[in-house]
Amino acid sequence: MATTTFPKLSLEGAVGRPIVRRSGRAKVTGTAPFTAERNLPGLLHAVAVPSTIARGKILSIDTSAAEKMTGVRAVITPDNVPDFKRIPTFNESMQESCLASHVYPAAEREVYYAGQYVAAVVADTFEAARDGALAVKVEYDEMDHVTSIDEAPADERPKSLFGAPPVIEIGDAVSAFEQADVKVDVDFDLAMNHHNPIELHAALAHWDTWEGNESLTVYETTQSLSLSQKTYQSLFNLKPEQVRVICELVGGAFGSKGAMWPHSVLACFCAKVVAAPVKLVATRQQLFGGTGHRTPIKQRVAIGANSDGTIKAIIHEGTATTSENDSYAEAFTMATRMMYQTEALRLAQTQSRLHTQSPTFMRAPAETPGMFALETAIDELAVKLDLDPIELRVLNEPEKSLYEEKPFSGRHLVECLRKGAEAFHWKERPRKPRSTRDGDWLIGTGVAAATYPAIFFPTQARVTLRTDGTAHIDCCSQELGTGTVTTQCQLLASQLGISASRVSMNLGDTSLPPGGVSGGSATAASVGGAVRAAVDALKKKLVELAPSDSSLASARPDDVTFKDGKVLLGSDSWALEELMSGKFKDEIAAVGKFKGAKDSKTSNHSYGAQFVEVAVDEELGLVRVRRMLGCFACGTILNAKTGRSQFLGGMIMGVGHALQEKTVWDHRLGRITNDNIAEYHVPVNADIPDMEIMWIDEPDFNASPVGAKGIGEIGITGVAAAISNAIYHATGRRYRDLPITPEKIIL
Amino acid sequence: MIPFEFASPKRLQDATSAIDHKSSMALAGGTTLLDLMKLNVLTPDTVVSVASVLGNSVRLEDDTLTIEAGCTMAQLADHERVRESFPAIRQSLITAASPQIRNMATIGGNLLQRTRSTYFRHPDMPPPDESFDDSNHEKFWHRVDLSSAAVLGNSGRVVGTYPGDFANTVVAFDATLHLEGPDHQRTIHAREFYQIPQRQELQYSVDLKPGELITAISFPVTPALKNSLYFKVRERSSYAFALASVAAGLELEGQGSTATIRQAKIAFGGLGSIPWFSQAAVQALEGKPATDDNFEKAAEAALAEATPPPGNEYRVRLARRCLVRSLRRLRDVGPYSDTEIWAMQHGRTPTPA
Repeated sequence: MATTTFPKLSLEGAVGRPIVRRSGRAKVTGTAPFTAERNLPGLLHAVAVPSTIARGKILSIDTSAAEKMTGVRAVITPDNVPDFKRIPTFNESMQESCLASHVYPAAEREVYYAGQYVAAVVADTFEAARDGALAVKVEYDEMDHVTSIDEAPADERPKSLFGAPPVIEIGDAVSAFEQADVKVDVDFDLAMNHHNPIELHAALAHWDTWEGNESLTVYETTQSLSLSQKTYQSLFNLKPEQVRVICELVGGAFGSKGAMWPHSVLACFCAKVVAAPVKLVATRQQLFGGTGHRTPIKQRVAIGANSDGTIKAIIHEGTATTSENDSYAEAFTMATRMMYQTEALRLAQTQSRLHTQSPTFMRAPAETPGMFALETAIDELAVKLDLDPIELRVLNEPEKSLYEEKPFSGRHLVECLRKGAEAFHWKERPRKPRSTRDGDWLIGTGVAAATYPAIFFPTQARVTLRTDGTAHIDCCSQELGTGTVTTQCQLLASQLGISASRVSMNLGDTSLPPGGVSGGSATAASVGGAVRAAVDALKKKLVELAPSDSSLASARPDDVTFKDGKVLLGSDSWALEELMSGKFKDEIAAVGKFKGAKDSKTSNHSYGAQFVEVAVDEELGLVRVRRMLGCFACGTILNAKTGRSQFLGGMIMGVGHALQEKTVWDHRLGRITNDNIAEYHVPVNADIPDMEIMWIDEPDFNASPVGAKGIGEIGITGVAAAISNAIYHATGRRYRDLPITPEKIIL
Repeated sequence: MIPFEFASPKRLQDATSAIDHKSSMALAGGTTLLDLMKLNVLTPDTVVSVASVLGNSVRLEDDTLTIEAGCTMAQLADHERVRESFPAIRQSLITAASPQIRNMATIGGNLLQRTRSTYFRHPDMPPPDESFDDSNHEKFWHRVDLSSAAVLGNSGRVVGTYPGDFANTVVAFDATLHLEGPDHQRTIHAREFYQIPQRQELQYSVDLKPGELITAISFPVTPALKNSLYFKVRERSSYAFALASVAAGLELEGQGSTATIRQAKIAFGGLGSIPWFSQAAVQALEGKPATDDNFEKAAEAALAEATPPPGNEYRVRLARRCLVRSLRRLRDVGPYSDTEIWAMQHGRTPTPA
């Protein structure tokens, strides 16, 4: 394409450099301010009382013992919960609310899942609140519950899969599959997962008065500050200026802090009742039920192809779960819409309802489970066709996105596969499984494609230029540990032609211009788009500041550029300082708005190829990952160091998804049993081998205003399939259920 | 956690007379007690700090290795003589827990580690009390959590697995525990110290009377302790409880599979409701040639009495293979080095130095 959706932007200088993440020093020295560590004068502590049953009615809540305990200030139950409005959740109104669930804390007379907060105790100290919470006695009338996907009827279609219908048909895939020369038709079963960030979910709520009006300040662990502000406004009937939400740093989220979980609302209830600031931290145990999860999913993928490998039909269908009262739908068939060329396509999802907390986004929602099934099935097809799995993918590379009927903004999947294959020495791989041994280990290698859409959220940013040559960004975005501050400073530095060290940024506070959700790998491009718009607005202001006799005064802002603190127009230049001081200004500022790209002419996704070598000891059931390589095409990489870290993090999390992560239930009781990080396994350092990360650094100005498409999630999306394909190559046996634990592998 | 009194006595006698192991409990490293107090599983009225009144020395005298109970896991694992000469001891420590926990946890406390069974750790979750034999209940067993249910010493019902590693080495090599009360001292063989859960009990009990503390452990130093290993299989490479593990030592007369087994020391971890000394395996091995066939037979004999919970049959298979592999290794090569243990974690076979 000759012209791009967004005008190209030259990003020389700071962008791309491996600059160390700015919060790094504070984090390693223990001085970084995380939410639960905050203190406020007169702060009280609340501890939630979770239900011990999965479904039923609350007959009574006996608070008398708790109320008598030393230090206890109040017990919040449905009898004294303050007024609030029941509002839509983010499932119904993603622009207006990030409330996770219609089930409210300490406000319901019924229990819909185990771990539901039925009451809370506020006390002078955390210890007193905890002891008080134990002394609250709840009597239930238990009702039947279902917590297993195997026991719930999958008789419902989700209303919408991120805006798409639950059934998508192109041509007659069922007949085309029946008539195909070569068929793969396989089922996949994926366990429930919990995010388990190291930083626990927490909220500190403080009701006060401000200029005669009620005001609410909440410090909370969130990926969506601006939306949290709106949510509190609706819940408590407040105006924007009456609500402030602050989160300077997030200590890991992976999607679990995107929606507002009940502990945040409960902290506000508690603070209101005791008329003092209240801190409430969901414990590690309470995370399992108190916050969301990745739903268990059952999938079927059927692919029919000609004997030369041309795909004729793809069918991808299955069931995910949601909760009784909410409607989160995991769009696990989404990536199959545009991954490969096919004559006919059928995507169909159903859902079943369980007595659980609402499921939610978990790193690469939709793609992580969906791509596991699709990319394993593609590998199985390659085996049946006796083709190299890379060649099969190349053979079926589509020219455009089938479902959207749009050209790709920038795909590069074939390039990623080729470049990755070369670095991984793929061609030395014997085609036949069970060909390589190392002592007791069978060795195998596997490949899978990775993908993630380019998503954006409306964002505003204010950029300030100062006479001292420094620049500053204000934006209510979030720092999830990914390096948002560092990379946005680089982005502005490149646009201004100055060094990144002269740029600073404030985020994490709703008193700043509103930002979007830091989820969906959207932050870099969304904030970047707003910063770019702010720079454009500043150019306009500088033209207005220009001496009337200068050529700058009549310049088109688009022709203006920056270099070394100077404004350039053709061969003329003006020092910023002089332009500003000429009009007696110390600084000038402009707010840029990025609306997102709703009506894009292109299909906007990132792609990648992931390679894995495993060792399998089938006598003992052990799988160990020996090598991993990922090659990605995500547009501009803003910082080579933080970018690499995000790809690494995604791939490491993929090892957990493939081999370890599993929420275990006692379905008899309807309760989660491995509610701690000793038994809920995520990878430890010893599980992770040497990893190699590569990328194709080509800006994508069709998808993104700054050429960058976001990299937080794509790293996980191909890992599980690459591992399961490698295990097949090592052993000659397929494992289609995750996680692939020793009990499945052992012969 | 319920409020409690904290006592910090200066002398061992003051500590022992204050402890009944029920309402008044001993705190050493705290890695089990504090954890379970936070979960309201253990709710002592008084916690008595014993770290400062227990010795922590490690001594090797007259073919006896004596470890005072206050010695930490890390300290024992890194003790020069242990590192050099007693692989099973070192390996059952370094493959357990995490460095942070090993730096805190004492050897005495480690022996008393409680089960990880979810039904023990959640006082509000009743364990299933059905018997495994009830064949009508196949579907029932899919609906409960059996991941820490013992496959040995369970009387055919759900009881918690003993989760530790070091204690398996302790029973395998027939160590003696030194106990001290306010006005007496006694010793007991570790193999007799642990008792499998009785009716209604969810986990093992120990022969530790009110007022008694473990003050030391002594290992008889045998040739088998020197030709020993600890082999642990778990769901991830580190910081996970064993699906099955073996503490094994062999004293051989001769070379290779023609050698005669003079002495065998065998125990299993991750399987039993207690650290599982296998008399059956020892009997099947001692005096016999060290052939693969005899190893297989010993493994069969060792697990003959297993009654795995439904769906956990693979752990019996796994345990047999761990034993056979351990014995072959001891016969053919000898103990693992640290480097080899790390290499195994990464799915590699180390190149011999």
